[in-house]
Amino acid sequence: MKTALFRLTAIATLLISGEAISGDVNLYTSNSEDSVAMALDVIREEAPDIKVNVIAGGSGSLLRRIEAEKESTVADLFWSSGFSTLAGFSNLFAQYESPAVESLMPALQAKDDPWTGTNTHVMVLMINGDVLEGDAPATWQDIMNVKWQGKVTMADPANSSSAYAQLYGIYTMYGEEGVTQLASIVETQGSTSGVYKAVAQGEYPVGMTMEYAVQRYVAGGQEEISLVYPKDGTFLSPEGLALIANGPNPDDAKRVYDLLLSKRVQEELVGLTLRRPSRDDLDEAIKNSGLPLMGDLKIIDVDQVKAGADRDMLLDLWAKARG
Amino acid sequence: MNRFLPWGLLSLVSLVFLSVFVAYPILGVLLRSFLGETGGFSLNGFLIFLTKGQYLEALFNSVLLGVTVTFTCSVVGVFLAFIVARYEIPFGSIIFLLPLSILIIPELISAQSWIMVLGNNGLVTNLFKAIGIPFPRFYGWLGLIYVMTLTFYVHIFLAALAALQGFDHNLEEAGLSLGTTPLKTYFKVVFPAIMPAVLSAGLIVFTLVVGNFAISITLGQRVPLLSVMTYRSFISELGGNPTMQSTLATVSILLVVAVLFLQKRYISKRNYQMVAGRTPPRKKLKGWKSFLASGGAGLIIVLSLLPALVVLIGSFTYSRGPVMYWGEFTLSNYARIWDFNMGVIFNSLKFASLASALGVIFATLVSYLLVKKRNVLSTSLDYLLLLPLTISGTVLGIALAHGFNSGPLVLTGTAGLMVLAMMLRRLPFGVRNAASNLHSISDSIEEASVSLGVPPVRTVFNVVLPLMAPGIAAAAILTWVTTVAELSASVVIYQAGQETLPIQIFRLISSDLMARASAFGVINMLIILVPVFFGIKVMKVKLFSS
Amino acid sequence: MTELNLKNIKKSYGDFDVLKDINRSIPHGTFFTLLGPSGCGKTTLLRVVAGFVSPSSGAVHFGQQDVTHTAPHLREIGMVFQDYALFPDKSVFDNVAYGLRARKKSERDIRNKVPEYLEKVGLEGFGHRLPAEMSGGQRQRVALARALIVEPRVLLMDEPLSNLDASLRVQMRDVIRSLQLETNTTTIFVTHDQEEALAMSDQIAVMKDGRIDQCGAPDDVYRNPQTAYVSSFVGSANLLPARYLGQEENGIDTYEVNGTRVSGRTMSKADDGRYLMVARPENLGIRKFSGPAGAGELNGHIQTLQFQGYRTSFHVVLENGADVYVETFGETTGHATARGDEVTISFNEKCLFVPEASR
Repeated sequence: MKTALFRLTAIATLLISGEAISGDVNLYTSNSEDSVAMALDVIREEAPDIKVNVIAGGSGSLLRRIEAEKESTVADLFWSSGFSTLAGFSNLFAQYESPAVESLMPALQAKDDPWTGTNTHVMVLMINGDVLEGDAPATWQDIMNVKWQGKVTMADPANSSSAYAQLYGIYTMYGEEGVTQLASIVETQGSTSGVYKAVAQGEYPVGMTMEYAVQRYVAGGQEEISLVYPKDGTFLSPEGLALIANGPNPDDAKRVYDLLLSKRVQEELVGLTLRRPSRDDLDEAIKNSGLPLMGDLKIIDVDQVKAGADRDMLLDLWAKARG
Repeated sequence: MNRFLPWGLLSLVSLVFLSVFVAYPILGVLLRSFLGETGGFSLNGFLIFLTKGQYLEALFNSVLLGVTVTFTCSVVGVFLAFIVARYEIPFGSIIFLLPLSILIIPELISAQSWIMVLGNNGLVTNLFKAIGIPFPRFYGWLGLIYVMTLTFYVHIFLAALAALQGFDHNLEEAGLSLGTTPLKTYFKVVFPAIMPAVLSAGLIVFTLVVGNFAISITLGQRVPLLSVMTYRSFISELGGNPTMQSTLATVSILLVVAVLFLQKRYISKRNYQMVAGRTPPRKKLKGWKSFLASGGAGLIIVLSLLPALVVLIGSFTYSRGPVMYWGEFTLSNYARIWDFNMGVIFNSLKFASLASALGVIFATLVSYLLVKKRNVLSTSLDYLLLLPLTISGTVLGIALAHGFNSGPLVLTGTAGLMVLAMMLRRLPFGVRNAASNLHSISDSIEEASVSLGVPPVRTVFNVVLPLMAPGIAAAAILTWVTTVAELSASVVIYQAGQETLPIQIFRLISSDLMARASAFGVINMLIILVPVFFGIKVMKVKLFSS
Repeated sequence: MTELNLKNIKKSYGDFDVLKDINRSIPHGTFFTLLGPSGCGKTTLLRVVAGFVSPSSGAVHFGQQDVTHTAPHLREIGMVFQDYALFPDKSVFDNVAYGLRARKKSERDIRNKVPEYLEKVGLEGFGHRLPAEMSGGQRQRVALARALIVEPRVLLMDEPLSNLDASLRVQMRDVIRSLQLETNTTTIFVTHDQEEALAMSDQIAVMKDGRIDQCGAPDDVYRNPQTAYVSSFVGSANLLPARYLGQEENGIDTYEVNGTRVSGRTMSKADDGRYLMVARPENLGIRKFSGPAGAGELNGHIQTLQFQGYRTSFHVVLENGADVYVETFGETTGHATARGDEVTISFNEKCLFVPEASR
């Protein structure tokens, strides 16, 4: 009964979306439509025999949909979401060792996991010079000073995975004391995007957010916006793509998988999205996009698995510290 | 007895439909709020609500915002109605655009446009900055009250206008003849008389504000609000807590129920009927008074319609990422939609037309059953139709998503659920419209047809439907307008590939991509406007007759 | 031939009996009027015949056919409503043609027949109009044509004239009655207007509280009311308490009314011996006071009088304070003519006696 219903639902969604047809590669993606279009252009050129059908949406809803369709899988590939989010759905994915993995930064190869890093977020401080009084903070430790109280904003780590990554990074560097201190300083926003919007609009001089989000404003020409890569070290929040287990067309899906990790796609993507690519042979492209090179940043290694395991404890600590 | 057929059967079908798709999901939400994590009965959700986090503050804020906006809307609405009813002002005829403006400008778009004008990077804000005057922070209470007032005052304006036009001028003259000054007369005689109408419209405004999602989430960043919190609890990137979602939803249902209850009591307490009297002549004003009256009214009208203009300009404005370059024009925002997002437009068209068609058919059927063929099921139908009024779109979305994600009927993630949500939100109004329409059709007309040999069901098609047609057309257009602009329920339940225009606009506003959001906004308004224009101009439909 | 038979019809809503055992046979071609005040059940009875209300028990027969369980649209009736019930979006022509189309008549027949019926009701050339463009009387004519054109077995009319003004009402009575006679259609006509009932009907059924109190030809009902209720509802009547004294030698009953002896017919026996005298105003004599009243006479004075040309009405207050209304016709010489005049009222053998309980 249940199987039949799932099948019905799947067929119904297929009929409604009118897109996913077996034999082609069905790409479930949370990337912006211009990123997807760019990648499709490359795939069309490099592998003209493959037709890619795109199902776009938020990563959470896409992953839940793949889970719902498990009885008769429609998706071939999922591109992309944070490692910690992927970890929650790892039973949906199939292990695939792409030849492209060797060209990636070690931290994003994820060799033991059924996914591969495509790009990584870098946690930064976003500064709005118009409403900033005095010098900008240079380190995470700086903003823990009471003089920044009420002037720094971050997303609610209970709702936002990137905010949780920031919190976990602080925890790694400064322990429980750091978390408590941070909790007494920052004001939180309901969502990830609330942070960079609030800073861009001048509500706060400083926001804890992701590199690409700030770089969009810098590249867009909003002069008062700048970003600080904290000198005491910053943390990555890598994102990856995954092959779906029992997908209808795994062979072609693997070719698309490789192409999405290819130099050409990643090169163009960084210019478009300002998201730092996972390959380590793209310094030229990174520079051209106005991003600093990875080597110039101090990166603190964060154990993503442990981060997931400590989640409840840390959020509890956070909630207590916030009162 | 076969007289039960077909009306009894249809009543039963409608009852089952509403029970399954309205009562059952809402009941599920209420029940789940009393479930603990282990599944047993627990008041944990309410305990958390009362003791932890910002829940209680959010409830308080929502009520405070509701009261404040109701008050400001009453001031603006009554003032404008008074000017329009009593004085000749130069552009009086443009007033008829007002009720339309709330229809064609979805609240999301009006929030969006006011951010572009008064937000921290807005046109006016930057202008003030350039001449060195600090402009107050628009986000938070100021923005919420301002935009909500401009969005919702029309409800009170229309109610007050109707009451003022029905007000017997003799009473006013009686007051004057007894020696009170004109101003005193207004306060002692006129205002108390239109108060019931204003108050019941005010309660509608209150429920709209409390349940409001689009404006609350775009402008209420630092102000915790119940509706936003309910949404976030459901949509949380990291998977929410089902008990807490249901608890928040239950609290907002209870809040609205309490308000409806108060309204019922208030109205039953002072149910005096206004004797339709002589409408007073419109006076001509002179000098500064004329300037003040027409200036004030004009300002309200301009502010009401301004969002459409701002969004139009924004859609043609060049932008790089989130940064807008005002004064530099481009078509690229539209080109992008053409290249990538035609599916979003088709989704909107598809869902809204299905929801409108189903909604209108169902509303027509049910209202016919309720008005003309009352039976033992009718009272239950009446009550079931009230239910959607007690819940905001967000809660409806949550209720539907939870109600149909397992069990014999799995709809979560299907387009059908989107259509259903859009249809249900408008249903009570559709039924009310159709019913008022039916009350004006005499029963004997149907009997005349039957007596002439036409069977009852065919009689409905031959005689009743043609007479209902203008009302049905109006209901269809109003349903279309609201479903095309529907955000709060659909944003909760949509799945990848089911994005509608408002959802897309919402997502773009969230990412601070205003120029692209504006292009979608213009398309959204066009899709709303075309049938409204067609209905009014070509089919001569009266949208606001009932 | 459609003889209409109503057999033991009862209708109750909950505890309330709207119709209590109605039995009546109405011969073909009869113009049958249900007369009564609102709430007496007359409209319910009409709707039972139409089929819009199903009786709680009993049967309705059209000729040999039991139609009790036949749906209204299959009963081949014609119906005319108080509010005309014209289809407002259809032209007069289409309104009248509606029943023919329902019967799948050819458009050619319809084009012949509709003008014929419009002419019958005096509306030739009005076919293209919409109902809203016509007066009330014209609308009711359309409704009549629409009902008659289908040649119904029974024509049912529910207070069809009550929305019209007085002069039109009189005119429409004629239109309806002559068309009914011309088509010889069995007709049930519901009204609360006794004048209408008297003027139009072959038979009148006076209804009260869900029962038919009396049924008969108009002059019979008027002249021989069986109950006090009928006597006062059909025409006007002075009702004075009477006590039965006994029979005279010639077999005529004698009563005591206000202390004087009056003889007359007893319409039905009162179980409790309490009677009311029914005296129509035009059946009373009035003359100037000329000494003590004799047998069958009472004295009083004129409270008011109204001269109305061919007749004069008097409101007389008797010595014991009772009110009596008297009407005289034509020559008034010899009568008292001034307010306050003392007069003597004389009763004659046209006075009737009915049980007080039948009020």
